[in-house]
Amino acid sequence: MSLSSQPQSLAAVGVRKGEPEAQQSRLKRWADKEGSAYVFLSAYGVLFFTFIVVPVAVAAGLSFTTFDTIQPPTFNGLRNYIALLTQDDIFMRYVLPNTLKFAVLVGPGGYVLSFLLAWVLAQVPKGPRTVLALILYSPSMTSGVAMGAVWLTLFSGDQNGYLNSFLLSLTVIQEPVQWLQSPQYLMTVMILVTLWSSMGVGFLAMLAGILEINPELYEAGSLDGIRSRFQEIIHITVPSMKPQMLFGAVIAIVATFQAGAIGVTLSGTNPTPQYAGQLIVNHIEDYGYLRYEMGYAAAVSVVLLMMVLLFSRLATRLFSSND
Amino acid sequence: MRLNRLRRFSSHYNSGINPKGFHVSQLKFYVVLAPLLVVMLLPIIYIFSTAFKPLDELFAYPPRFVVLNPTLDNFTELFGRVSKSGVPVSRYLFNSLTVTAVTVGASIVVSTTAAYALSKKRFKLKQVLFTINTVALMFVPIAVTIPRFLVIERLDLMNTFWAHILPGLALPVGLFLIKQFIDGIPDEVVEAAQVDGASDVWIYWKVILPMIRPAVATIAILTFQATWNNTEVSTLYINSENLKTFAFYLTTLTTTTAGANAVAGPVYKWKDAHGVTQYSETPPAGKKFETREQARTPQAAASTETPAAPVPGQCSTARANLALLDGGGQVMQDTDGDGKADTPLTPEQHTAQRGLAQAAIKAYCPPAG
Repeated sequence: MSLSSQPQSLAAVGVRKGEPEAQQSRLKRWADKEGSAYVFLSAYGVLFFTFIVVPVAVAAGLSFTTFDTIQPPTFNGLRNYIALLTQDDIFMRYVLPNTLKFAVLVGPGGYVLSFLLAWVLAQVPKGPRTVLALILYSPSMTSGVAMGAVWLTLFSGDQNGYLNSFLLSLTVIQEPVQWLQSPQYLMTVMILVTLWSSMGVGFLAMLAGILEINPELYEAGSLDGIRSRFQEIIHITVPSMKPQMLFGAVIAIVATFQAGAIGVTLSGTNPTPQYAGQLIVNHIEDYGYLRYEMGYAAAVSVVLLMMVLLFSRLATRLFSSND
Repeated sequence: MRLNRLRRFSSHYNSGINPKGFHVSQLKFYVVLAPLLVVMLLPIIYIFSTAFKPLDELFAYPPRFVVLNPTLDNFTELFGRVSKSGVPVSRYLFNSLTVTAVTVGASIVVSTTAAYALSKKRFKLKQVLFTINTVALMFVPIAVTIPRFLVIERLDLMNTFWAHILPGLALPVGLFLIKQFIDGIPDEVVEAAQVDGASDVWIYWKVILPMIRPAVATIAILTFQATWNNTEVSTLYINSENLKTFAFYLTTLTTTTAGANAVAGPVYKWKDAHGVTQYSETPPAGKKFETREQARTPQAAASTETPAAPVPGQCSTARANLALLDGGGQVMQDTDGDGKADTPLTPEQHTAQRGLAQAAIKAYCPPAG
């Protein structure tokens, strides 16, 4: 608070005397005081601006145009958004429901799973905890590409696939199931595979958060009449680690919407069979890189970013620490 | 210390959060965790076990999970291998190692310097900039691959190592984590160094960096994962096979059709092994193809086989085909309930045909309003 008085007095000097000398000294004083901060920020700032701010701005701009990468973009107003809402049958019938279904199951599902596992891990001593945390974390380190080979073999559609072979030997199924090519199973496999690899940074942050809680709080809680471990979680653990809960939630939301490639990796095609696993990210690639309708793809991108923003706002509302 | 001694005698010791030793009550947690750990580990065990399988075990029926006669053949084959366009595998590996090492190093420098400024320096825009970065936590890079493509093209970064390195450096999550960590260092530490006449660079290098090693390790791991596993850059921003990464080479091995990029718009046009015309984002390996420019200019397209003028008959046929393909995938799959020979081919053909139909629509149909 004491800082705010200084810039004000500086500005007052500048207003009183507009002569270049005073201005120069003001610039110099500014450089002495704040310049080094901007120097330290510059590298990150430039990269952030070039590869995050500009692309988002370009996407927003392109979303109001028709652009096929050959001719320069032409402005068409809200035509792309109107088409998305009224004419894009595939978007409304498959992509949006798929994305929401996937997001609701994988996002909160993975999030709750992360928290519960972090909580369970916090109940065991440090040695085993480290090993177990590493095991749970390791799937999130694997890349979609490397694991693609594994999933293709595990869920392979012929009798050589591990799952098919296993179920056939138990005579649960009579003939091999096309796990990855049939519309009714693809989404389930996608959700399972994504949940498998969802114990990432958010999970580690929550584990750290649980371990940081002052143990006296629990003792105070038990004196205040908390009876079960469940009550302890609701009344002590979660409220004491809101920042980590929020961080984990944002990470989970972003990861969920980011995980679009999985359906294409599993089924081997874009679009996925009968659009069964078509997520909004695949829709963008379909229009952007397969049909070269960049303006329309940009409009879908903007909708995706808005969805992430909306869900993150909801999470912030839920876990904001000042209530 | 007193607290610890007290807790030792309380009933909570070894049975609450963060216990110091083993207690019978912990057994239930191990029981809950055990099946999950198996699920988590199985695919990873599988990948290791399969890597050492000899050929006959790979195709054995019924499939075995664990390798019987481990062999290093697969590894010697991999590293003796040359990709379809004549690039040895070691080159992809070298590219991956170089790109990842440089990106991790640079990203640590970029994020820690910025985080130091945001945490310990005093300047007017501080709060605004941190808020912008917090909003950017919600940024989904995959949503803006197309504008990023345009930016990278405009900056002349296509086909350079920079295209691998630069886009991944500004990581909002990394800055956020490190800034929070530096916030934990008391201001007095920095002020004491300033009183002693230390420069900003010295404070950053000698005071801050040694104190934030855990946070640096975190961001190093995050950046390493993101860069090492990245295939998008190689697919979208790099045309030269010499500059692509190991992760990208893996995609060419594992996917029969390379997903979104095998059948793309009219950029590279070529005939595949079955004599089917293909369009791809990347140049086809070791095949004759029309270049990007040729395929893109309308005259070249007209001179080959696609008439420039709209042809209603062809257009409606192509539209009908596309509709059939989009709706009738089920029919194709139902025919091969038993067979295993045609199963892997079906999606490939499906995609190829779909690409053809789309290309035909592009070529024959009048541009839609």
